[in-house]
Amino acid sequence: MTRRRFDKVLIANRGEIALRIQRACRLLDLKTVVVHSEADRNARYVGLADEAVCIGPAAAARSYLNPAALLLAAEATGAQAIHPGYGFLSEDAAFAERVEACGLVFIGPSAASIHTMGNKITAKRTMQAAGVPCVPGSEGALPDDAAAVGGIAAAVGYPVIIKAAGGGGGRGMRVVRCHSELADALAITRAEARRAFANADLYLEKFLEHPRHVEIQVLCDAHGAALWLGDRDCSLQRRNQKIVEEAPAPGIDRDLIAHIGARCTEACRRLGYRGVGTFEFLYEEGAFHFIEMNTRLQVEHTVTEMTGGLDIVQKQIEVALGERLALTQADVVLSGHAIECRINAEDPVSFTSSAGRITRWDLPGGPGVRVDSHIACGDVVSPHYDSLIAKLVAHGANRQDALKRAQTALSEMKVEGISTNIALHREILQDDAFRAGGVTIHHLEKRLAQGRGR
Amino acid sequence: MKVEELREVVQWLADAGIGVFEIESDDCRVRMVLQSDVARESPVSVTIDDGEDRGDGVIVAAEVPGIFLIRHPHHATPIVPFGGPVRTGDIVALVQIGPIYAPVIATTDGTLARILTAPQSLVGFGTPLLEII
Repeated sequence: MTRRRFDKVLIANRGEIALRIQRACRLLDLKTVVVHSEADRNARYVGLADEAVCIGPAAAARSYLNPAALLLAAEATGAQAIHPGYGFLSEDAAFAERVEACGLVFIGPSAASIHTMGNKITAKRTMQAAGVPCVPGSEGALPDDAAAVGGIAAAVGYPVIIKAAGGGGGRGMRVVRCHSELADALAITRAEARRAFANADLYLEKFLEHPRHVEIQVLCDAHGAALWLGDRDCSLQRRNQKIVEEAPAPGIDRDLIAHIGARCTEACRRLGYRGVGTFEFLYEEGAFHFIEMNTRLQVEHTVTEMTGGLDIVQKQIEVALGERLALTQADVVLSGHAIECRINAEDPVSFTSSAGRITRWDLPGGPGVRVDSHIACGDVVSPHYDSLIAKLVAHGANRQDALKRAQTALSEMKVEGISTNIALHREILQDDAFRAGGVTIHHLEKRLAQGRGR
Repeated sequence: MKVEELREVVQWLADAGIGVFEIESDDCRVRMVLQSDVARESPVSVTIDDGEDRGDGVIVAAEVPGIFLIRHPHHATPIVPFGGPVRTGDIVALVQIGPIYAPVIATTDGTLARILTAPQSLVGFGTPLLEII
């Protein structure tokens, strides 16, 4: 047997995804090193790893976001690959470059790919070249001259949205409804972009009033093969944070999605992309508009796994090992429907995170129900990190079945000691518009505002 | 070891807040001391609450992940003998990270009273290593 590129993986993340990655490593007979902060020392998944090493104090800046501590841990444990998970350093091109410069494998795309897609202007240009539909807008970065920008905005047509090239995920953007608002919006967004992203470049797009968020999952090997594994609808959001995701996106022409999927894989081939990634689109009036690409594994990869039957994390690691994809696009067959509810430790009214000790942790089960969680009863939810404590995923033969299974699962799930958004999920799954399918990205916030008004 | 490699290692360690370290390769051994403006703020000392009485000693903890050593691999005897005197700032043990040896520094004057972690084992940030009384 030929020697593999690596046989020990350092997992540079925490929480449910650190456990998810461990499970995929076990499937591939890879040893695991889990790094953790002092706050996560007693976490269940830490004890499950082959080796665990504390890399710093609770503050993420000195632990999970500290490249030097991660690289020293890899050296100390002899790990030859680093899986960044999502969040933290997963889309940091400089970190990916540094990992590779140390002779380690970064389980993700090349630093160059991360860099290209991290700049929203170069990302959009790359997508246009590959025939991926984009929102109409400015060609490249906006000029400094406000009058010239006024001409571009008028040509695109109000309302428009001004976005920072270095932004993404809902950060660094501002809607402009008429010409009189333009100059101020430009000045403020540019100042924010310079401060937050160290890149003052802005671009402008037509603002879509009632879009849905629909995304395409891709998987590419290092030998030029690129597949799309399915679509997801992630329109149920609050302040740009996804709450419920489902696959496939309800009520959209499957031929149109297949066409978009094919354009995404074409973009990957042109980019020389490897690993997993997600193309995010706004979908409105029957048309897809590219907004950004996430060059990493996503929280909601689970719904695509449930409908496509593939272990996406396993495949991600296999391509990092240099293996060729044994699949073709024809082998990617979707079956049924899946819905994911992100269970967060948060106050149901104020949405502030709820830290504390979990005194009851009853998980649901049964056919088609999957719970990805790092939590055990008695665990303390730390205030230092993201509030996600579990992902409840329900799969059914169709959307109706998936909804029913999700509702039953939510009724079985009991958490005490901290506050959670389980009750909100129950309400969402009973909401007529959501049940009908195809709500816009504004639906949840509007519904919450109505609820408060009652 | 090439100078470029050394430069890279020095940068890592400076980023990680390590002030003094030793690097070993086949043909050389280099001990480096970084100026304080790039070194860490202060050595790590911790309070451990596991119910065990540790007296009035000061616990010295690891600052970086690596293999805990109480003697240099080239030396036959421990850096500090058990019960031996130590002064603040003394190197009392090492944490080996591949070819690099990061020193464990005494944070108080006293005597080496206990070794709290088995030598040759993997330690991480905050792992209690030694007790000085």
